[in-house]
Amino acid sequence: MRKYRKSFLLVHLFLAVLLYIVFVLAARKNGTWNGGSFFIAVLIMEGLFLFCVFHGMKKESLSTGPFDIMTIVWILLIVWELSTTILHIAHPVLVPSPEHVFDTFRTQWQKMLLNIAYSMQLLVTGFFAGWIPGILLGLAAGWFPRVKHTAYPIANVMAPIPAIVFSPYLVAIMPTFRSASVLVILLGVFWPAFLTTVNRVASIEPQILDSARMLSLDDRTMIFHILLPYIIPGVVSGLKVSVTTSLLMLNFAELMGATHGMGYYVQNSIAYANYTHAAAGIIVIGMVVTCLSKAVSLFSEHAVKWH
Amino acid sequence: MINKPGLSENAGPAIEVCHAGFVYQDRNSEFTALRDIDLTVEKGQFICIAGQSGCGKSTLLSLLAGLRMPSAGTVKIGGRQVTGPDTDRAMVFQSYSLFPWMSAQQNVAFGILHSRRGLDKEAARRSAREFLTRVGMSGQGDKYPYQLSGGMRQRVAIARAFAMDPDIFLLDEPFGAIDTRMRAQLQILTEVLWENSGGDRKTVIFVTHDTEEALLLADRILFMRTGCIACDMALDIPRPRRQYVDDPRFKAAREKLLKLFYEEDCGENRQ
Repeated sequence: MRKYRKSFLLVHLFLAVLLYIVFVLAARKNGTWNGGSFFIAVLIMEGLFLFCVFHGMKKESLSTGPFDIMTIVWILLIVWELSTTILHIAHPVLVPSPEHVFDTFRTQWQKMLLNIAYSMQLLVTGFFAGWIPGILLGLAAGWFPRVKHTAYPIANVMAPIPAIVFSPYLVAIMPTFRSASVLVILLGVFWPAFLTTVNRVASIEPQILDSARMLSLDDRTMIFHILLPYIIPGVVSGLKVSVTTSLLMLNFAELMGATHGMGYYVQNSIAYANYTHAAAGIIVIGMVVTCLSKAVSLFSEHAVKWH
Repeated sequence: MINKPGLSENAGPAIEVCHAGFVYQDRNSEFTALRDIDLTVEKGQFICIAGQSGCGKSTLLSLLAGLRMPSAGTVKIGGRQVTGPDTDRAMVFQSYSLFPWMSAQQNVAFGILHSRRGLDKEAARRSAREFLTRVGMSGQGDKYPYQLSGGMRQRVAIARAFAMDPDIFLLDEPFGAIDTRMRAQLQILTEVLWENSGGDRKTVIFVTHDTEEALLLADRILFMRTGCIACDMALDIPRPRRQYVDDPRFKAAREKLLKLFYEEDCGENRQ
């Protein structure tokens, strides 16, 4: 801990500066003080930071990372606060003050949660509808040469065309916006899942394959008891990339004409020039992405027990 | 003890290889791994195929396994032509014989379930435990291969191969990556399992590049060189061989085998 004492003090020096600006300077300037939500957000950030530090100390994996990141965050918030509330150098409409942005969470939390739920539903549907068939077709192609010789060349053409490019078209031809969004996500996940599965199966340890062949297994047993478990560690470690891809697809899909969702919330707020809500929406997307990728990492660490 | 090559009631040899050849084909190159191999193995024999790396010994084994088809000639097991792998043969590889996603016991039980059909899962599990005990792995059945040492993994692989109750037992340099002490234990284990495999003793084909290993285990050593069987020597030395290492017959056989290895060295150096 001694090693990090200076960094620790530095972080809290900046925190003190930030709090001074918010509580003293800004309050004096505004007359009425509306920094409550912002203050709570700062407290939560500080809490997370302390949790990271103590968790890292316990696991003896502490690095300078949390300290540096926290310092940067405080500096950014200071700059943001200074340029909006105190010095008024930022555009008064385009750049809302942090007090206003964080206050959005208090006033809009129900709407935001609803939009998150809607997005997640879309994401989960699209993701699994693309991911599982992609893996199954990949396994089939890995085992039956005929499937491979047909599907692999098609995949090589289809995979590099981003679904984003033709997603407006999909929105137009699909009956509902929902089904179009699911399709955009599905396509974004399906081909990469298929291609990586084929490649993983192709790189199977020859002796494992020979051991399995010596048992003269039928095709089903071969695919589901040998090939599938063999690729699972790779699939799990690639899960994060797949989830990130589908999130990207989701946010694009939602820009096309959704009526709900995180992407829609941001898009809609911008359309009505409500940049306060837009900024808050972007922060929400960041938080959701972080939570998702954390969940995926936790799952990956515990999913495979034979490693 | 005296070895009885073949049992007369099940007439016919265990393995018949006739003019077999094998060529590895690449897009723009060919490599002849085996040429014109003729080989007859009687039931119940312990055969070692020795030779330096690249001599074709593993290729010959894979033809017997049915993992590869000969480019020329025929391979017959028990009088029938080999068309692919079957559960009348079991194989142990140098590494990765076991499936990493199954525990030791699951590995053995999986082999049993797919070779001795009609057995229910519980019976397979019981049999797996029994075989693990026979290879000295009792109480370790729940461990995954990554939790086991190389020697223990090979014990499990041997247990699986024997548990599958095949007629022919194929081993491809099974102890090549094992340290000397553990290797001696595994050699004894293999020999004991083979000797106790009952009236219809298993036929064993054991590929090795270790002359000592071949001399300790084999009824008959096939020495291979550049795709041919250069020497076919029968070893008429009592078992366990470790007690006969000073026997003149053992010494003579060792000398002969070393000479074969040495000749090849000379040949390579001259090139």
